[in-house]
Amino acid sequence: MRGIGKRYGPTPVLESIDLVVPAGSKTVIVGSSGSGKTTLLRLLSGFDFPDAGTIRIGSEIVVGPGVVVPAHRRGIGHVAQDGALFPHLTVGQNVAFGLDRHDRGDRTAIVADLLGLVSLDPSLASRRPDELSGGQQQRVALARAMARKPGVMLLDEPFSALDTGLRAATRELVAAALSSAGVTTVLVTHDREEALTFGDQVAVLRDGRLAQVGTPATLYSAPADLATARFLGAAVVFDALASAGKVHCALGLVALSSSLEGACTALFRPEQLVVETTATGADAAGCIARITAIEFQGATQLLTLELAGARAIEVPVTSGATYRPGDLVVLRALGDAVVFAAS
Amino acid sequence: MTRLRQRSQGAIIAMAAGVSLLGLVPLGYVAVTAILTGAPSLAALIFRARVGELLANTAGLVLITVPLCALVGVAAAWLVERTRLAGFRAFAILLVVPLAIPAFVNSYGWVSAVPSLNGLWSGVLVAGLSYFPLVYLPTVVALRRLDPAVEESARSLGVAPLGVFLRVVLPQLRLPILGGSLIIGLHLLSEYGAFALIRFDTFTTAIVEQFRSTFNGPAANALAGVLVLCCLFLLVGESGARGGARYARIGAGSARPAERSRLGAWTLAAYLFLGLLVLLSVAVPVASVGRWLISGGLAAWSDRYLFTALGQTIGYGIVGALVTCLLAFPIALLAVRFPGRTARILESINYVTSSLPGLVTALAFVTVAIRLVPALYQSAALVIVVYLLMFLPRAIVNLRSGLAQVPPNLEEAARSLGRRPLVAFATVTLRFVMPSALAGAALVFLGIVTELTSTLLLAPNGTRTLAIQFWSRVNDIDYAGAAPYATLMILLSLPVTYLLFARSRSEAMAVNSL
Repeated sequence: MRGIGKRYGPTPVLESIDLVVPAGSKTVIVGSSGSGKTTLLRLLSGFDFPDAGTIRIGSEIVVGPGVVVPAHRRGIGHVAQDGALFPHLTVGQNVAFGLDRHDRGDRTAIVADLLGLVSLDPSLASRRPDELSGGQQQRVALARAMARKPGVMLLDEPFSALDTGLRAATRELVAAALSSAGVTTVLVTHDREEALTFGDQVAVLRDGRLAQVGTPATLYSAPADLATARFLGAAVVFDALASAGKVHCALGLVALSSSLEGACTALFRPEQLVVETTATGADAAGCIARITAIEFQGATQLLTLELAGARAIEVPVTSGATYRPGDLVVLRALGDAVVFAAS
Repeated sequence: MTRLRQRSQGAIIAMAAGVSLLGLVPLGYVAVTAILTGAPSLAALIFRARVGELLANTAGLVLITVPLCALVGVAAAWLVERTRLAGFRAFAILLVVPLAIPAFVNSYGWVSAVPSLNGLWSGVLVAGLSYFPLVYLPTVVALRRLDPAVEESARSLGVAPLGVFLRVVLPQLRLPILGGSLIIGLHLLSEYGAFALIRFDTFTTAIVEQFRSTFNGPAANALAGVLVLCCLFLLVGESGARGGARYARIGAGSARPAERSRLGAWTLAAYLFLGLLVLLSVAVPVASVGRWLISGGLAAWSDRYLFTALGQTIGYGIVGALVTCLLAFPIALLAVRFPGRTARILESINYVTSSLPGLVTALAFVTVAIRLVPALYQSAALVIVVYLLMFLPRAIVNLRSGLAQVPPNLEEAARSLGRRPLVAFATVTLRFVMPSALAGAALVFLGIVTELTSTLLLAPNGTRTLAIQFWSRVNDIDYAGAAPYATLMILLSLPVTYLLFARSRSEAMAVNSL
């Protein structure tokens, strides 16, 4: 995709989007609702057309100056939010819908294979879509799209309608099915956990622009800006001063990974913060904090800590240790801080 | 609490059963006269060349008109709902206007314009132009409800736009198309005026002629029996074709409207089609009525019966609508609050009865009144009873959807605040149901204003409704004198037709109750 732009009336929805999805990889486009991610996917599938830019699949330009390939000639698989199964057809007829006429002979066997691919029992083929659970419908929709052996598969928030437990299981299964078929996949979601676990590449979309593109690990540990950092996970943020490879903040002096100098914002992931009893004593890389509230959460407990010269912060610790409100503890940071120039 | 519930359920069932029992009279009458006539004489009355001719005419009419209407209705609905034709909103309204023009007025307009009209194809033309909106309107509603993501899925599976329409959209429109077609079929079987004007003989026109010459002879009854069988055949056929189909929209889906397609080179053809449809179904009858109005001048309006007829029509319409809604209430309440076998049976009796031609219902009550309650014969009360049975489902369907939208716990809340059950019902539920009740009443009113056949048979001597006066003027070849009556009927029907159109936008009214 190069220079993609789209507006509805005077409102720009997407602006100069450049994105390369390597063949055979899985890319996740993540953004909050209204960020334009579904529009981007619809441009790819050909249900909608951009006002500017070029989309190329392999060597073929599908949208560009003077070129518009309609959806049904793009060879792109598309799985909609709720599966969008044909309500008037059985599951088997749904899966076989896109098969060519000459496949007609061994249709039953092909359908059974496809259902097997998404771990569904072939006996479901005679059921009606409304007799299936949400997760099963979603997998039928995937099997239906796979029937055409598409080079590219687009998934539009396919797991968002599922229950939490079912969501993770269905996601793993779908990821495995797509990987084994070697299909280039683009998934759109607003769920950060889904974004970080599903893809090889994550693209963060905000207000119609790509904020950052990279591997999940890079995005999580080295976000390009504060908004991206907060979007991808919980963050603890301090006002800080950077100089000579160190950053000075409420936690003390912490190493940083950039060459930034001067006033800045330092960001830590909660799992970087370690809480120790005061017996160990404070040193240069730690500070004294007072516990003001404790929330029991099962495996972890969430401590609300008061620090000198900073806002109160929340840090999860294991449930084993016993703390009481009012206790003093030492707070220490592991690893480097991520810093952003103060705005 | 439970006893109270049982008691109120009992009372509701009793009321609903009373109405439904009345609904059994027409079918019972057909069965009893068939038995009394005896098989040999019945066979002699039915297996004659004349009946064969009528059967061929009627079957031909239904077999040609219904598919044609379905085709035209679906095509028009798709053009209005799914394409970027400029002015599709105007067409959307214009295409329901034929519902405001009674079929016999349309026929009068056409005969005035083309006096040589007669026979089967003229019947197909006139009836088709009157009835195609009965497929068009429910199809528009259904098209708007379809999940566009389903069609997009088909496109991403490599199916071209035409294929998407044939393989995905059309099958999902099966229910509104079948439902609309059934209603058109039933209208074709029961229409008298429109076909009498173009001298096309169907069972219904033959029965009316028979009735006029021999009053209540066995020949008319035997023909009525065959007509009833035709109706039941259509009802069974439709429910068979409908099968177990229930195309529930799966998943929540988005409320996103579907993309409208560009027609490109087909734009001109689409305009021609829609323009011609509006021209033939609206402009021709309206222009004819207008022409007669002008040629009749002020003299036609000084007809001394004109305002009597207007008053009587509105009177019958209002009383009929009120009675129908009141009596529909227990049946609708039963269906919503106590669903089950009893409710289903009581409700379906009324659907079958109202599917019978008004003519048969009228014949049945004429006979019953003469034999059992002579005082009722030629009384306005009997006319209202027949209207009630003919139009009851229009009220039931609307009341039911209105009642279904009232959360029962609102009524319970009112009771927990100290209202007695009946008071709670009246102050909470009734107020919520009022809009649907009014919509139902309006539809019944529309039916009564334009009802000709049964009124002709039943009305007390001296009754002058708009339809009756119109008909007697036309029969006296006083077309100019008939024009003011036609105008008033159309003007009375227009607001209700608009209501139907507006509520079809909000999907709240079951269009299939017409």
